[in-house]
Amino acid sequence: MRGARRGWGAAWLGLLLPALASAQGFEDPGFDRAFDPEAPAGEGEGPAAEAPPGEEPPSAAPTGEREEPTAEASTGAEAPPAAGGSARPSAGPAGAETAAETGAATLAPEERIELPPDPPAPDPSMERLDDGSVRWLLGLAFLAGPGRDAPLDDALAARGFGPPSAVLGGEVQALYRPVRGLAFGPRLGLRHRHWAAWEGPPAALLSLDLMLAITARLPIGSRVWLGGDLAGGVGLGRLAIRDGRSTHVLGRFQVSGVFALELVGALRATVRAGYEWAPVDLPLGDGRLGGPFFLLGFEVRE
Amino acid sequence: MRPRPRVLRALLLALLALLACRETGEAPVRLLEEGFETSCEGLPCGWAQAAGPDGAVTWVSTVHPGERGLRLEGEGTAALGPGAEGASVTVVSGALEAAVSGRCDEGTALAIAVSVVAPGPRPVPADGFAGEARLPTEWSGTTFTPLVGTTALLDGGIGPGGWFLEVRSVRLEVVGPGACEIDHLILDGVGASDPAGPDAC
Repeated sequence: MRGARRGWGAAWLGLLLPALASAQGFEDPGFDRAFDPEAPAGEGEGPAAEAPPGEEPPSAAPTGEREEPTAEASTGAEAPPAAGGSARPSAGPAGAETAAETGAATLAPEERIELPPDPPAPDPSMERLDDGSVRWLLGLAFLAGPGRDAPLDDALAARGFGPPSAVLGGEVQALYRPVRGLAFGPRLGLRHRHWAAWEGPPAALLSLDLMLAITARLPIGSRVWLGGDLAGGVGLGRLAIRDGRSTHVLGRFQVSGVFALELVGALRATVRAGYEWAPVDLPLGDGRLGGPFFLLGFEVRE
Repeated sequence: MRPRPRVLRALLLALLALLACRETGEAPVRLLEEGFETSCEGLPCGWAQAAGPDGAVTWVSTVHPGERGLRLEGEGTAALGPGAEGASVTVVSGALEAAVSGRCDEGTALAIAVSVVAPGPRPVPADGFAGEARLPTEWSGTTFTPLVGTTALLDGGIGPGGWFLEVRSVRLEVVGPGACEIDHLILDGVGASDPAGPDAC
């Protein structure tokens, strides 16, 4: 069972990772170069592309000992893409060469070509994480149940148990962040609810479920983030009545808003408020281990 | 940074509220309440087969492994249960009330008869009450059934408040060809037999 859960998680991650990467433009090498100064220059760009095969490419850094530009160098800007790739100067250290150094100033005005404008500066909120960050979030959830509107509540009331308690629970999650403000991954949830009795132990319903969670946030100011959160998965519920136990499969789906406040260093406080559905099919009558919930937690970014 | 006293006080109050939730209070005094939870030699403790073929009355699990009940199978099969210490009840229209959590096969009902005494100074309104519970075929909630007194009351049938009665015995009998299962039974005054337990936080 545990292995099957891991398999499901891996399958979800396997499906979502490429999709998210594609949606965020990570398959675009230009995107990589724009956000990672150490990314290698692309083929056909910069001085390396101008070096004939088998020869050492010229140093990218200006040395001050460069020879006078040759005719080939001066016409390099007009070379077709097949020979030299993009004619735009590289944005890397090689791009520090001035027009005079590359010899472009010696061209006649009619020989010059119009270079495309530089790409716009990247959105800071979409900054790619270059540290392979993984966010770990530990949270404690407080959930208010739907009251006596589930058949299970009536069935237990007919046997001398009281109305249901609020749902209490906790969550642990490990979310992978491909970009700032977006994270997804597994979330483990624990929920508990009980029905008191005049005599003897209360009846109790306990569930443990594994969900796939996706959270998206935008920075509001320097320390505050606002966003939304979706999660869904399956789990097991255990109903205890007196000395008897029974185990049942349940599903869980939750939607919530997220408020996060950066505290100290990589530590954040988070508040989530939303609604979750968690029906449980029981012989006594369908139970509900969900409802509106309020979660207060902390998360640490590693 | 030291926590503010106001925050600490709120946390303490929340903890006290949680602890208070663990206290269930006093259970209501019933004329009789039976959950059939404990077994004595194959039958719920205090219960015995009163009629029907051998093995027609059994102690069974009902809707959950932790929920037990009494099963009576076949026309005329009956079980006799124990009495209780007694309670002050309101008799309305000469009747008590039974709250039953149970089920019966199609075309089968459960007859309930209770024998009472009145040890107090007030005379007993009736020495027996009886009724027939039409239980659903599937497990569901509570079925409320009036149990009518076998003797008419002197005041015309309404006895508001204050009879202290003791149950001497309870008899359950199958009416019809099928079987009945019952996992919770409450006998009390009319309108007072709601089986619900205490509130939980």
